[in-house]
Amino acid sequence: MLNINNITVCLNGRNLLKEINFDLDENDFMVLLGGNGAGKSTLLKTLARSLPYRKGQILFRGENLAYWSQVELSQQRAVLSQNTFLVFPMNVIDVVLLGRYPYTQGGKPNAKDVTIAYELLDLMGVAKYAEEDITCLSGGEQQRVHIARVLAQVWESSLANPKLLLLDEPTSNLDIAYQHILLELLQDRVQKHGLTVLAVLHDMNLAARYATQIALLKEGKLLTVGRPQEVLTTDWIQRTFGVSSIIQAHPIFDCLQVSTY
Amino acid sequence: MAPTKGSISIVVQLSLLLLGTVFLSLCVGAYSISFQEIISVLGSWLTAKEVDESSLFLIGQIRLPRIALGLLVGAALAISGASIQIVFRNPLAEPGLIGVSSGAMFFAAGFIVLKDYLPFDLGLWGHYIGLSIAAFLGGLLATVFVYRLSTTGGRTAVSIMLLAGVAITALGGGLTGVLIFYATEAQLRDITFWSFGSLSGSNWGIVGLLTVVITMAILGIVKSAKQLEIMQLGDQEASYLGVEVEQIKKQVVIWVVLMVGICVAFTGLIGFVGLMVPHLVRIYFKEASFAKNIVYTGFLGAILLSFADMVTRTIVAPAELPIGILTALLGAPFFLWLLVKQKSIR
Repeated sequence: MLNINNITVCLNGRNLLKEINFDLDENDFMVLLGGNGAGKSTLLKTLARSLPYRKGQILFRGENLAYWSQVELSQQRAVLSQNTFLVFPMNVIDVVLLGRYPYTQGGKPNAKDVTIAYELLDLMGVAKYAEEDITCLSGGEQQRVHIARVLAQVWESSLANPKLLLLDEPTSNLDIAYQHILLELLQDRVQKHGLTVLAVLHDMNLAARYATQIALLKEGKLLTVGRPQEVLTTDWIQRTFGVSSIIQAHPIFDCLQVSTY
Repeated sequence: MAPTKGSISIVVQLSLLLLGTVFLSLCVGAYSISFQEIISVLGSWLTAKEVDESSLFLIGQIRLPRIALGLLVGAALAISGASIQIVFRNPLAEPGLIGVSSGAMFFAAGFIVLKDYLPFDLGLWGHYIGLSIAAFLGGLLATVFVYRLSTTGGRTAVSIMLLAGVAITALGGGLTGVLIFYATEAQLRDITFWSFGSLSGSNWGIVGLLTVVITMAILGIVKSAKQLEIMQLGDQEASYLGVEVEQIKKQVVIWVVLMVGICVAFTGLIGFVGLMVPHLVRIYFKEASFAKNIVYTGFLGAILLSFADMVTRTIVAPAELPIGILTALLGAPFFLWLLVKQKSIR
């Protein structure tokens, strides 16, 4: 789905990313982990095509990302940035319907667009605010609306032809219940309906439980990429975050559990 | 709920209000004209019936073009405000406050003074068109300057935007002051007229020119309404949704500056309309669709400015208060109120 070959990103004379290489396969749920300033957001923005890279090449569906037209790209991938906010009042449902713009191109949203929008508002637990002004909601609720918006953009995806979703700290403002609701929803979409997800998270245990792939970043370098069982080891965690950890099998779920100290 | 169903009835109501304002404006003034007389004059154009020459002249050549100019300028300034607020993603952006108007005024004043040094006579239309182009260029220069200075990565630093506007307004005022030294008596009158703003220079020629330019500009902005609506999410988010943000911004800014420039060229500095009207529309109609917002904003701007003009024509009759003074008296407290409101949000 995405082939990242030798990407170097340089901003204001600083190398933010150094020779990054990895592939993101279709229907994978990859989580980017790393300390502050490791380059997680920079990598995500570069893959979203909003930061220029100095060296290397990014292929999206085998074609150079730079050659994709803006409209075609918007129909194949959605991006959630950190801290998206609206300055002017807008109803919650209208915000989610903006996620359907790539398909309506300025026309009136049809019945299917509206159904998708309401379904997502319901899944993110904000359907009761549908007709309310988004700027009056709390930070976490606003974030849930924006998550619904980006999901609406890639909702019609299939296992054979999955769309791409890039999420920069989607759980940062969410309470613990909604962190699980969101990640479970993403997992379900990836496994049953087809979707490729690349998300920046901070919580290793959430990554352990929901991700199919984990990438570790430190100081602009990609340390390793692999399945959670391969990557979540005391050694890698020490190298990535500089903390000690104990790794055990999760008592209930078929995944690892990390305790850091 | 966004009043989707009600949008037609809103437009009908606004049209009625507009019509009412027009009739009232026709009646009142330094000489009042009765309603019957207006009907008979308007009817005479259809039936070629004889009517009093002086009322015919007053209505046809003085009041009507002036009202038409008020409607056009009001709509143009209000829509400019609404559009530039989205481009800057800030409710405090306004063509007057960010220096567009004074940039336009300085260039227009420069044109007035310099055109006398031209070896040939431009004629009336050459004068109108030259004045419009000069105002457009001045406004464009100011806008590009303020935008470059205050916006990085799609985020506008409000303080820099407003301060740059202050600086440009001061610079424009200063440079216009320099021009005054070189101006003749007649040019001086023109320049003074600009700095207060007035609709008194209206005639059907100006109305025709403004109708063409402003209609084009409004249609140009309406064409990008959906993209502007998405740009409320921020530049990056809009581009993720497939909007060619830079292209839309450039187009919209050019249309806005064209409208504001031509309004300034013929009516001078009429401030705060672009600040107040979009805000009133937002709180009153709560409409998400930017296309509909533009329509409501245009109507309300037209109504408010022609109403304000009627007040300025009558309040100190037979003299006249420059309309820019009235809009400033109303707008400045409104601006302060908006600032306080912004402060309480942060």
